[in-house]
Amino acid sequence: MAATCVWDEIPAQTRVAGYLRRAVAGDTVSHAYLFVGPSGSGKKTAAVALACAVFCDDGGCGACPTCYRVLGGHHPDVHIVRPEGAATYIVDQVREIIHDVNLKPVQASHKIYIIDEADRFNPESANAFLKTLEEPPDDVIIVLLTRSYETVLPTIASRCQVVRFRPVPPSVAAALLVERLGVDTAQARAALAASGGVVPRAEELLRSPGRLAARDLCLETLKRLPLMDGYDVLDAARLLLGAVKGPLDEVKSVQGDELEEYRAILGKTVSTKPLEERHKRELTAREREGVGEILGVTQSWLRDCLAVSQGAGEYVANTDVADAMDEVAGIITPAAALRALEAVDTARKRISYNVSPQLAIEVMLFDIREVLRCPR
Amino acid sequence: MKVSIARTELLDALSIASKGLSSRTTLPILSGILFSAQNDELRLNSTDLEISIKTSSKARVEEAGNAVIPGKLITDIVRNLPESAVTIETTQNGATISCAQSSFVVRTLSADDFPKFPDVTPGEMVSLPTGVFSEVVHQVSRAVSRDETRPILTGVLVVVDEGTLRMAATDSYRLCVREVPVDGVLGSLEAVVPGRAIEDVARLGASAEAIKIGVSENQVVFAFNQTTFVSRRIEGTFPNHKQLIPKEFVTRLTIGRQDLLEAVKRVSLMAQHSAPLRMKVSTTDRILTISAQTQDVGEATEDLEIDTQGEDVEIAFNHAYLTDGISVADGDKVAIEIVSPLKPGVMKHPEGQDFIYLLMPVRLG
Repeated sequence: MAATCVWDEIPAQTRVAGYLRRAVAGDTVSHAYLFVGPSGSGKKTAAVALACAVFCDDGGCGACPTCYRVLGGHHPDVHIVRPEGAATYIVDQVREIIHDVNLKPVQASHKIYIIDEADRFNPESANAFLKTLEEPPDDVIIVLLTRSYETVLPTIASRCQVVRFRPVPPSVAAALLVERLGVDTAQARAALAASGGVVPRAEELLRSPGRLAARDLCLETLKRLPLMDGYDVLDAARLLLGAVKGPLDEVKSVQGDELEEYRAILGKTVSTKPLEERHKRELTAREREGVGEILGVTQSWLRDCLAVSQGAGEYVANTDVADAMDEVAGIITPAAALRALEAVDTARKRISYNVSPQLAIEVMLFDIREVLRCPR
Repeated sequence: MKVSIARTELLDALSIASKGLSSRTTLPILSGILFSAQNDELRLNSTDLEISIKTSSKARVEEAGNAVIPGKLITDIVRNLPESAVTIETTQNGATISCAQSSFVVRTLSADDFPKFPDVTPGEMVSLPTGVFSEVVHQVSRAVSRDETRPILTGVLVVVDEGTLRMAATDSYRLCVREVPVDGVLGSLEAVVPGRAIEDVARLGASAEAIKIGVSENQVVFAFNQTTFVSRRIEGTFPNHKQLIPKEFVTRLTIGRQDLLEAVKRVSLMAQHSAPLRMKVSTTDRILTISAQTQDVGEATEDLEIDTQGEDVEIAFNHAYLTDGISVADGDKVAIEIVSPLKPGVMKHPEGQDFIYLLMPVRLG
């Protein structure tokens, strides 16, 4: 068991782990992989595990100095790359990768490039990368990570072996959270419901008091929603957005510290723009995530109401607010519940098209209020 | 860590180590130099993950330890210090640098985060006299390619075998090969070294008597004085350049190197927008006519007296590449051998075979 324990890091992907493990053992590792799977399904963990398995003499023991360095993210031959442009990989970044690809490894037998968000290649950066991706030197392994196969440029995808990751089943995910954080199953299930089943995000939610507060506020709003007048609804939407932005301040202060340290070390002459841009992207992503959580909580609450109304109480995720749900569940019809759930989906879609989150949530709350007032 | 060292010695070590600094924004630690003090020795380490430099000098170590100090900053500080002993003392998360009446406090980074110096065990080390090494590097490095699409050409081929040192570089438009006998050098090696790295070594090692070279599977190591310079090797095999060099010639001309260089530089003024430089050899008159013409700008012609053998010929070259070749060639005279206007011309020493500069012609319109 101890001989191959890096693969235990991805317990939910036994098929993928088995496949990669066989590839390493049989020395048939491909030069390029495309890992496709929803966020939180363990793509990056699997890529790092692959690096361990290739570098480590014991096929990935997870305990030797080599594995330690790979897992800690400071092995000189494991390169983890993220987009540096505002929304895409930039050509210069790709050139830097190509330059490194063409040099011999520093200390290991191979060089491994883990390229996150492979759907973020624009045609220019992709074209710069194609030749390298197609026929790198023998000692190169390129692992591209993406959420969906369709969003990756076909020229990129066709040059890789595709490895599909399954979404983590809810029971396994909940068990993982219970084990890692020591929360009870009910809390784990509620957090997973809010974060769309993504384990790392549910983990973050459970760790952040600010985000838990936003969840509570959202549930409270839903409970009172039928009694609100138009002004109250607008006010509630504003408060919800405020609650989402609250936890962002923590992120901002961490980023500020990082920037200051960076300036102190590199001096004033070096441009801090790449770092600032990364921070900005991080903030936007966090805010999106926060808004997504509000929608996730709303959705799971409505789903719970539907489940209770149909006498399937064992499927309820948000058990902590069961009393408020019972009231709604008593009168709601499946058709009405679906209408309300549709409102949430519409809001999610609108936000992805860059509608202001506040506006989208306001509309959603109004729609849900209609349903709750007239649940037939 | 607490260590004292003479300012000049520290500055020398710093100027070597700062060659290895990286400005890559993703890893701020690489912009720092790792100082480690122990056993009366201060060791400096720097790396940009492609090359790694380790250098050391004698110092008075009062307290052993490590620290990573921003590289550019400390070099600037030490350069401006007066000539006296410099003391570097680390505190909780900073370092104090004091010298005579001045003192500086700088931030430091954790030494544990600094990439380990590559653990290289070359098979054998070959020692070369610095003078020869730098001269050869200077000659061939002009021809190194800057184009990353053929990575192997961004390196210099270094071969030591049977008492000779050979280096070759090409960017597929020209090829420069230099071979020199090195007496008393034992051992053999072959490696392709990134062009920038070998130029840095030639510059940094200038004051040393000899430079030792060793090759391991992934790295090539240079050692001189107290410094070890490690560079990653380039993937791939260097093209077989020997088969490219023509064995025979149809026309051969010999001319004073300085005269040719000056004439080419003059005529090149009229070879703008990469217009070619024409060379017309008349064997009966013993005249080489160099001319260039740029449309809408003008033209230039110059006649030079030469020694020739063979037939008349007219050939054209890129002027910048030609200038490069003439300026790094050996000796007072150069010989140019031409097979035909569509085959590469060869520039070499009139008597020897140890310097060869092969240049692709430009097709005449």
